[in-house]
Amino acid sequence: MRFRGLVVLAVAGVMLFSFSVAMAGQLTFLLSPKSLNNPYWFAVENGMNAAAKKLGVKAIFDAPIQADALQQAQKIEAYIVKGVNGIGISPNDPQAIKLVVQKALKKGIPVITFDSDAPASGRYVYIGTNNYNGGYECGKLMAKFIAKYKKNKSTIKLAILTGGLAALNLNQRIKGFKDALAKYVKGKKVVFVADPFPCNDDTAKSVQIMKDVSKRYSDLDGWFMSGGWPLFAPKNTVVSALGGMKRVKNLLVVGFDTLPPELKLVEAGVVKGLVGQRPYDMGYLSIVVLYDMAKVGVKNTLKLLPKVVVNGKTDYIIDSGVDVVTQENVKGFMAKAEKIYAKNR
Amino acid sequence: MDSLRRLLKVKEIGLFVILVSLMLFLGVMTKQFLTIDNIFTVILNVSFISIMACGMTMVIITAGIDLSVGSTLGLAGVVLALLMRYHGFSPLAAVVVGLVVGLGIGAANGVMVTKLRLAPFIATLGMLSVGRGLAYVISGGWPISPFPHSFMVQGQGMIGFVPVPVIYMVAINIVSHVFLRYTVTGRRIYAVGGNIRAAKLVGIKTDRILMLVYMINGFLAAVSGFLITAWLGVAQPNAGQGYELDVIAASAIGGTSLMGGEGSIAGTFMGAAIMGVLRNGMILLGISSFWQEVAIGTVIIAAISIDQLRSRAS
Repeated sequence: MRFRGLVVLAVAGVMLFSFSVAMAGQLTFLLSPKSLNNPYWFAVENGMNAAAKKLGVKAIFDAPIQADALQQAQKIEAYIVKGVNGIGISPNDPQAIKLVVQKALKKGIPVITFDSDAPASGRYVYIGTNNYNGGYECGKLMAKFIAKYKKNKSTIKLAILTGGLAALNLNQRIKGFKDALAKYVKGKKVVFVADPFPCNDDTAKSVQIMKDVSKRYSDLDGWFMSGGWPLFAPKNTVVSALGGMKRVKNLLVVGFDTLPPELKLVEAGVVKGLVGQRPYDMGYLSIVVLYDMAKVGVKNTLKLLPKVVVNGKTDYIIDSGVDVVTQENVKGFMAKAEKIYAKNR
Repeated sequence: MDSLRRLLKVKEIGLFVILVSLMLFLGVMTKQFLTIDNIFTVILNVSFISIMACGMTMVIITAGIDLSVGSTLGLAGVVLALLMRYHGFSPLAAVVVGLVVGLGIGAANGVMVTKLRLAPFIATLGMLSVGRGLAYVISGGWPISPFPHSFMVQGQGMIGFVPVPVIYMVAINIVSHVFLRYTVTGRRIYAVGGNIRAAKLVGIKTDRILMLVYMINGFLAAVSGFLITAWLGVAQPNAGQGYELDVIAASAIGGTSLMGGEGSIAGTFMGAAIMGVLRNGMILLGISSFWQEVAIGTVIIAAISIDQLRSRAS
């Protein structure tokens, strides 16, 4: 019986370790990204904390450690029961999140999405990159590089690396990319060696894919990375995965996101161009919008936001915009990026 | 007094005390834990693991292990989803096929353990990859949805304030408990785990028993896959990734000895409940997700250590 008591005490001790006393009356918001193990989200968290500090509210950043649709839904459900004043979600799967979004809305908790949308879930606002436009910018960049580096080639072979095959934001980027290529590449044929290779947001997996694909297609001309995952790895790892520094010189790598390790790759000439999102702004604006909704109500907040009409229905989308980075402007970009993506402890 | 003493000796009482203490503690420290909404949310989350843990308990009692349940969950979900969505199967027919897939994976595991004499750890570890790979092959990597209402109701529906999956869980737990404790086959499962050579000498067809437990385990993993797919409204090829660890932990906390011969459905259920209550409680208390993982691991180690000490003392 003594041992049993010890277990109860141990459990209680562990639970009290980080016990936060609930502040009476203070607004609390939840932002739930796809996972916690991707440095991209550090910027969202930093933006969220900055807005929360400024507005004097409490903001919680929580998600499953590894991307999992079920665990994300279960976690959000726990917060709905706990009671929060607003929820922002970047859903792993737009369908899987519908149930908890509806549950929150029914309880009077406003729900918005950021970074990746779930348009049919009932959420009020989407704050994020216009991913089609972002992908389009990537396509324009690639077309420019093709004209510069592949003058003598008539057929250009490209590979696409993506995260989860079903992620709406990633597929919109790929579509934009392909459309821009179709428009801006003149007098050459662009061929994709295969369907997009999915790494499921796992950096290690993405590096492995790059390695295998580079070996399989020794005449590959370029890559489009619909997200930054393999480019978070150290420079030497990336270079080796792409087939060595000599091959990299003529390899046209265009990627997404502008985290510091990626910028270093642009500086080193390993990556030719990046189109960056603004996750800091997404985090910041999410809290601002949720705060407004809690203070003046959803209807009044929506009146202030940009309206779009999609398939005859009114929708509210805040485009957080993109940054285009190439070797020309990467140095100026670096300092700002290091601050935005810093993991604050 | 005598029956009270007998009750206190029951192994599961310790777990029950821990579970109730935890719940009371959370009820006091947070105002939301002991609400109907939250309790049933927790029970619903526990259901998916508990259903699989019933099968896992049986496998571990035979001194085996099954690492492939997460993959079986995903594969079954993908198969039934595809049949419903793209091949015009009725929900019932699709689910039946999904359950057969679970039985099939279980049978494959059983054959590897009994006929090829592979260690269960190795055999099911291989199946973990095979099952997951097949889920990706069949689905092409894409999630599958939507589904007819009659299917979704199995996961999202309620009977009163009881979520439907909870009803499945209760039924499965009761049937498993009765099966293990009160049937001849159930007793044979314990015998095989306790001392497989002795069991053979007594005339128990040990190979058949082993096949049975792995097939039951595969079947229950498929049931969980079906219910998760219905709850989420979408089947994903990566569903269930890593869940085998939670299922094994639930059984271990519940007193199922990894050496075999010992374990109970009641204990496993409470093991699953303790983990579910912990996870939920930590969110309500505002504890970071990273520390939650540390806490869960600590509890697993503590529970198993206590069980080891207890069995060594007796």
